[in-house]
Amino acid sequence: MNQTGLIEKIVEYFQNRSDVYLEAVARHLLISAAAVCVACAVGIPLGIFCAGNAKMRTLVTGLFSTLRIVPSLAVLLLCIPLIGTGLAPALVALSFLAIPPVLINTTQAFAGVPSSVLETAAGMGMGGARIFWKVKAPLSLPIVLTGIKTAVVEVIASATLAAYIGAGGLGNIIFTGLGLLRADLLLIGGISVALLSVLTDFFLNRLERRIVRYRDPNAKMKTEGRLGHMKKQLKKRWFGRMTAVALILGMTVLLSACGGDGGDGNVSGDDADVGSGAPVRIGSKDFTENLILAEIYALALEDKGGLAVDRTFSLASSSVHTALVSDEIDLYPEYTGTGLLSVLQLDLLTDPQEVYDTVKEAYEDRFDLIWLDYAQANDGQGIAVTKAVSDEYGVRTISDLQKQAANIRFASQGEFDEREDGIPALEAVYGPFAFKSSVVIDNALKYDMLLNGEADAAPAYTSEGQLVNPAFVLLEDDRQVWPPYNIAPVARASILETYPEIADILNAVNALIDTPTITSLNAEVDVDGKEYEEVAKAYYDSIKDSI
Amino acid sequence: MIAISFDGVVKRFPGAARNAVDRVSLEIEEGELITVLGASGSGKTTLLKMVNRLFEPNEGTICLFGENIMDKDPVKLRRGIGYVIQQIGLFPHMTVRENIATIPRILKWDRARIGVRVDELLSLVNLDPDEFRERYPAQLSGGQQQRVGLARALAADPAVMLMDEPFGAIDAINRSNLQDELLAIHGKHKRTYLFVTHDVAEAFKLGNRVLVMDGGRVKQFDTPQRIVDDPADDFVRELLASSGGRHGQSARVGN
Ligand SMILES: Nc1ncnc2c1ncn2[C@@H]1O[C@H](COP(=O)(O)OP(=O)(O)OP(=O)(O)O)[C@@H](O)[C@H]1O
Ligand SMILES: [Mg+2]
Repeated sequence: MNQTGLIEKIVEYFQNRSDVYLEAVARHLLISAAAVCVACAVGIPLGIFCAGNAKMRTLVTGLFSTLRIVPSLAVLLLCIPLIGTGLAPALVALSFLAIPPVLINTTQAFAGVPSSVLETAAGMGMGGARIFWKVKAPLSLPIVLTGIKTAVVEVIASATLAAYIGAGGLGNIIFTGLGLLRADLLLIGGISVALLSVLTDFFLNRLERRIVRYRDPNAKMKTEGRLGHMKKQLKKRWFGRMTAVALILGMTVLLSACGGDGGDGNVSGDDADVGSGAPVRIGSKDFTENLILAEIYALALEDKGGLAVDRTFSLASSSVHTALVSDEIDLYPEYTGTGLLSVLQLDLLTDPQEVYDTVKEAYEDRFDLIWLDYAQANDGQGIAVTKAVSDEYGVRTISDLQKQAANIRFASQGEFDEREDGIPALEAVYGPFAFKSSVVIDNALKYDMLLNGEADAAPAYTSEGQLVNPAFVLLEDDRQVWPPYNIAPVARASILETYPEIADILNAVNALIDTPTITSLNAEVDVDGKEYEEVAKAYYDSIKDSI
Repeated sequence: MIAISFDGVVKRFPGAARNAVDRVSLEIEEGELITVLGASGSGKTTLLKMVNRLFEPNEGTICLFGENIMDKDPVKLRRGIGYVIQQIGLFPHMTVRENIATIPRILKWDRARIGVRVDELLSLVNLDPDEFRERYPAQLSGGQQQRVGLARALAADPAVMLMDEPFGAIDAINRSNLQDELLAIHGKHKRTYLFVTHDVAEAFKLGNRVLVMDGGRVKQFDTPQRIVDDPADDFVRELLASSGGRHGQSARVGN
């Protein structure tokens, strides 16, 4: 990936994805505008109130000045447990960010209207309402506007982070760029945010100059000192923004320097033009099972569909959905439970068909993404016990485990004991688990511990490779506490229209994949140490005639 | 006719040790120009602000043309009273024309009448209408600003004008001109003026009667000539002495 390559990629991006880009810009502006509107609706009335009340003024401005120190990312993350992810918490966080400059400036502006002006206004016979609208409001407007301007510039920069919690906008492009290690996307996203910021600043300045035409250059208004101060602050922010842009540029250069091998071996650029037309871009998450599945899908599409495939594997689990939405990939293997709980933030359901139907409908509605048929294979939450203990105490289900808890030594990575869908969820349905003992260990060591006889039970994922070992028994979740995590490809509707055969091929493949199958494939990589491509190829060769 | 009358008026601010205005009773005839003279803190401003109800007395009554001002709506009352203060208080976001037109607009005069009136008032205070009409206050000197302040207060031709050290912050030459113009305006229309100053020469030059105040009380209320000839007490005598006898040259003494 040299410099010309980068520029070509950027040009190509604008040629092919200008709709995605424009949508991101529009959404970015929309989120920012909404947040600033909320901030004005709260900050202006509150500021006016504070201006007339010295005690409130110290209290409220003090509070908000303190709030300002809290980084916006922290506010965003704090919002998640309260209102989930998506647009709403992003709006709340950004509004909180935008309120202080609006509020503080409004308070200062209204408190700063010269008392002599108010005295003559009252003395000549203007009533309270008239004084407010004809004198106080217009005189305060310039400083209030400066506050709004500060808020707008701040919000536009911070709205980038909104993508982090799924609200969309230009941040999507940046995060996708980070996930895919794509310098072109980082540049496009970063520069767009900086440009938006600078442009809005420019236009708001012009607007301000129009409104405040009486502020003659040789005028010595009392407000000038304060305005000068605000300008200095703005300059400081400018500096901060430029630093951010410089950082993004720096990262970009670093990434370009690392070039294509900046990622890992999984990003295999398959250049063999198998078919005609645009390639199908397949993505994957960054763990064994997902890599194997994605590779199997890729092989099937190349072989049965005669399609060219671009592999963009090993994306961070958190960015793969974003990559699909922003048209960087066309499809990837996903889990129904993840779609339900993590992406859509819906309430827990436990019936596999119901979960699938729910995510399928919601994805189509919201993202224009299609869930193909789901496989029997379920990579869900589970608990594994040693065969010895299972036989000795007759433990086959989680109900059995609960009854025999007093005889069982439990080992977990700690988080499972606290997590909402861990022990607390189990106890709510099965009753208390009073284990004989409970230790905390690193997740990678749990099977060793069970094999060494140091513990009897541990949390597991239902398709983990190690479970092929007959020394372990995966317990049945007989009262269905945990949601199903059935595997299915999620694809952009547009790619399915372009290549209708994709659906048939992948559905046929998926129909063959059940939990034991995927577990043993995982084992070949994680236990036997083979390469996932090799395992996927061998498996595909074994099934290709039955598709 | 009696334009303004005070009867046993007392004003005491919350927490203050003594009355800011203490049992003041006096009568002002229509068409008089009264100057109120006294040291800082003697209660001049307080006395003035009770007339347009920016302050309300704790005791006593104030009547304008025989009517108790407490019986009137304060906002309407103020529209009939001009008010000029030392800090001027022009609206910085309005042009000279808009400033002067404020009260006529509230009174719903038609545009043409307002336009004529604005120009007439600007000429009256010696400002060229064509030059100054569309300027903002920030584009005027202090003296020009106070001329506009005066024009704004005169806009609806109020029967009573209250002026609180209007020329206090203006240089000596300008102030002298303004004093002459004020006398001319007063002479033309014969409205009732109450003019606060702590400059003895100014008080004696402008006032047909001078109200000397000290510690909230009226020490003497008489024509400049009689105050000079027969000071009421040592305080008044000292006040006259402190001005270095310049009052002797002022306009109204010796007429
Ligand atoms: N709003 C107020 N609250 C409390 N006390 C006040 C208020 N206004 C004036 N006073 C007090 O009332 C007294 C008279 O004040 P006033 O402003 O009438 O004096 P003044 O004669 O106008 O003085 P100056 O020549 O300095 O303007 C002073 O002791 C002053 O401290
Ligand atoms: Mg005063």
